[in-house]
Amino acid sequence: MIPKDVLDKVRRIEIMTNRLVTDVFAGQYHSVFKGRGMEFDEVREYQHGDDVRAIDWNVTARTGTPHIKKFVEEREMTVMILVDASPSCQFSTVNELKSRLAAELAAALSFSAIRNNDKIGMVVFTDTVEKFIPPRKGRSHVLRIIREVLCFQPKGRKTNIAAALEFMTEVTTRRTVCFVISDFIDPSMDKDGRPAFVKAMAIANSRHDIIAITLNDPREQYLTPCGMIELEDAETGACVLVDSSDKEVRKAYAIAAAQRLLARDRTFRSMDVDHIDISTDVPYVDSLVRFFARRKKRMR
Amino acid sequence: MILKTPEFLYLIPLLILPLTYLYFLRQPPSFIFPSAAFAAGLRPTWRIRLRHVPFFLRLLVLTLFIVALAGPESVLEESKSKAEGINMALLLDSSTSMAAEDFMINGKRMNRLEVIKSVLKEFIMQRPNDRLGLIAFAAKPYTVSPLTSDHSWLLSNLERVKFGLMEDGTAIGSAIAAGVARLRKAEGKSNVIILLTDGVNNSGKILPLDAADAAAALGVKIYTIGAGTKGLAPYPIQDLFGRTVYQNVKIEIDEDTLKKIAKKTGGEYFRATDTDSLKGIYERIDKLEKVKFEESSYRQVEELFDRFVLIALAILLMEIVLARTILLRIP
Repeated sequence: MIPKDVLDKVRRIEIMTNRLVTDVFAGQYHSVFKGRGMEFDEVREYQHGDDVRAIDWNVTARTGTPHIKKFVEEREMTVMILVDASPSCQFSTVNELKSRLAAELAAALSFSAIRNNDKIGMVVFTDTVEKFIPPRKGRSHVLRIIREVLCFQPKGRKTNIAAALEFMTEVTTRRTVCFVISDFIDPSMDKDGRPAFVKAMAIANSRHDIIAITLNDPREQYLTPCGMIELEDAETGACVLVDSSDKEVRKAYAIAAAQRLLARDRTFRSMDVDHIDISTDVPYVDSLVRFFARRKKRMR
Repeated sequence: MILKTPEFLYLIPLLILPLTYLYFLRQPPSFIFPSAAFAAGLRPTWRIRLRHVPFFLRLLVLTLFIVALAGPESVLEESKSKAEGINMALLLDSSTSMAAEDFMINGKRMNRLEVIKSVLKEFIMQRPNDRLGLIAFAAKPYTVSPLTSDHSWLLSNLERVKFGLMEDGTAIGSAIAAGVARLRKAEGKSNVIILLTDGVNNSGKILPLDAADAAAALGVKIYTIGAGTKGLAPYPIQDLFGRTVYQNVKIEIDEDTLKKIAKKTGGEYFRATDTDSLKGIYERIDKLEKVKFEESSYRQVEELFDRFVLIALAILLMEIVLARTILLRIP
């Protein structure tokens, strides 16, 4: 039996993201991910009931009568969502926790996917793969995904993105669009001094279309002056006392954070992995829309 | 500065050691943060170095409170001279019979006068709030020191008392009269004479009992002490060759008269047969007079706990302000 409050949450996320998918993303998701597979078929005259968005204005202008473009539906796609459930995601200083944000993102992407008649699957991971939901279609499947990501109790206390990517590569047979929703705080490094997930991600990206969604919080970027703060690492439990009242300390912290982000961006770019930066203090819709627009431009 | 109940000081180690232990043992409250590594490389600032200062200030406050609890007080020296004590005339027989060496001090034979002087010295030092006078007598009374509260002066004058200051004899009556004369002009809650003798009244113009009547009329209380062993006492005399030899002399004390004197004036008669019993008698008189005039032997002290509490509160305030402003720690 699923507790009522979880059902409420799921329902709320469904309503919210559903609206988002119909109004804001309307069609963007489609063109972004179907870009390559959507083949132009023909131009035919507009008939009553056709989608006005499909009207080809150039042909219409030339002929004088409205014409629409017709496409051949691409074969259905598989979308995988990899969600980081490690303790470091149970954090936020504004609005919602990163984990909750991840759930909403997963919901929005899932609804977009089923609207497009795609199969959607999910992997929840910490330092191991905690939960795998095989790709399927249907609204009830999406609701299950939301429920799982919302009230999942992870056992692992660390983050291992590489393991999740490797698992994903193993279980999927076809090319997928794969969203990795994580804060990408994975302290392990490989022997070249790059983050440990780089190699696995590069391999996965050669087969799949990987989109990294990074979850950030403003307090990770800069400190506000408020005395000495005792910080405990969510994953290792290590404690560190930070003097946020000191100007030099704040400056050093901000510089380190900026360098960290820059290095992360550079890592994604070097792997040719698309990257969406989501922050807890900014509505994620804007970031998603911007990403879709950017990607659409590139697809053309 | 002295402490009224220093036992409270045991609280200091009892409280402070476990508190310090717990403080350094316990994990400070913290914010869960995605990665402590983000802040790990920052250099420590002076605030971080001073982060334990509020805790130690708290301990200091606690210590001061405990000291305040122990009741610190300072004894005011000047309050002694202001204190209104009783007046006491010490009458000391210095007739040649006092040279009998029947008392011992530290196992050494001494003559009675020396023994009595040393006992009196202790007695004087025990009564710092009283006005004491000293009258030596033989055939006539001789005022060594009038009533005074300057006891160091009194003690130095006590040393002056020797045999042969005056004509030999024992004028108990005259001595009492002299003591009463000294006391009657004195203002005080109570007037007391302590008469020490080893003989029988054999000179002077006033009879002892008449003098006692006068004392009773003037409200002077007389404690009488008969000094000397019962029976024979060794008495030093010089033989033909100038050597000191001891001759046993019979001791004769007019105990009846002394008892009557004491009874008439509301005092008591004591018999001292050796140094210890003599000391005991003076201690007894000391106690008797103390019980009766308790308010006159008070000790004025100044309580200092308020200063400790004030300093502690000031430090506490400072600690609170510090811990909430420049040394603020969250959470």
